[in-house]
Amino acid sequence: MDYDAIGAVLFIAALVTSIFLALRRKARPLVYITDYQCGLRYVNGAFVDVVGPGNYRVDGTNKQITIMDLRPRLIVVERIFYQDAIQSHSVISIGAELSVSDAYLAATKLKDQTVDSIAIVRDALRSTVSRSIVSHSAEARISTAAEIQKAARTDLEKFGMTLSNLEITEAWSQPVEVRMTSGAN
Amino acid sequence: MVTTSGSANDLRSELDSMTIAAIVWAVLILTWVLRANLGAPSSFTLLQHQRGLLYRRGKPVREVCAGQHRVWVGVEKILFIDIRPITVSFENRAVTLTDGATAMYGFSGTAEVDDAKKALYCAGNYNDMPAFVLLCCARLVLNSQNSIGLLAKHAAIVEEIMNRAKPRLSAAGFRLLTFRMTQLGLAAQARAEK
Repeated sequence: MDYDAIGAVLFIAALVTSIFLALRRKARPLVYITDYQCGLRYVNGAFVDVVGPGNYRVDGTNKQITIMDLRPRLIVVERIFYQDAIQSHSVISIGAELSVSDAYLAATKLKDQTVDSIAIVRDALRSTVSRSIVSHSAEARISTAAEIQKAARTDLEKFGMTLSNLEITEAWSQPVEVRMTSGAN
Repeated sequence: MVTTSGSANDLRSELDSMTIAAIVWAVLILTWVLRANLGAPSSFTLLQHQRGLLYRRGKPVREVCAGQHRVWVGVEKILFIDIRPITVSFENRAVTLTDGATAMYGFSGTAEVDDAKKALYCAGNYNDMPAFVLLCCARLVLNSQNSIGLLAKHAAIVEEIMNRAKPRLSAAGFRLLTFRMTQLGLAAQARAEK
């Protein structure tokens, strides 16, 4: 075989390879992950790793990347009525930011990260405040908010979520003297 | 002479075909090696009420304004942010006052994106941020009032809510444009009015 023939064969092979690569590239969808997201990579349905920002081409047949948004989700839990540690009728409202701390846990344990987490926060809130006595001072609000946040974080941790910037937007408790008067009547 | 010239031409053509094939293969190999950094050229047009954030390999590079922008699709991406005012409106919400009375309130307001990058990162859905901030501030301010103060200090309450909301919105990349209490009264009063 002379050089001309070898050259022609190599050229045709290069063309065929480029067409093959172009078709393969087109068949594999592009996943673009920004710096406020992360991707969960699955191969044959099994979790492999968490991938960071960048562009990824995934084989649609056996590889998959699920994107998880790591930005905070804003929640308000309003008008929770409860009885505090001295059985006074009380009400509390909070505002907070929910975010994903462990993408794998959040994706596998929760169907809807926000809605399911709100239920957990609500439980943590109710159990924390019902053990304490409501005070209207700013300092007391801050310490109660910290307590609620800590309790909610402990519960949310198991599901790969976390809570931050919790603020009590409404807190009220029936004064003891009023309760005693109405009780006497 | 003719034979010599013919073989020289043959050698040149042999070298040419080999060189072309080698170049094509070199380009192919280079494309394969640099595949993660290559994208298809494309362009996006941002309208005058949009801002964009250009990402390269997942990292923010710069903010882009209205107009046409060329990007390498696959490597670069422009995320669009609508800077038109976001309207917020709430009605018939209840809040407990310091004296135990329940007040009914409602408000409306508008805010617009001031800093596209901050706004994009402030929440999963940046459109929710003005509503969240205004809800929290309104409830916090109203909860610190009593029944008498609520009715007497209407303007002061609005002012205080705005003063609390503005810096928070600014930190999240928004500017508060308007805020108005559309409803404010005691629950019993509201029932009587109905």
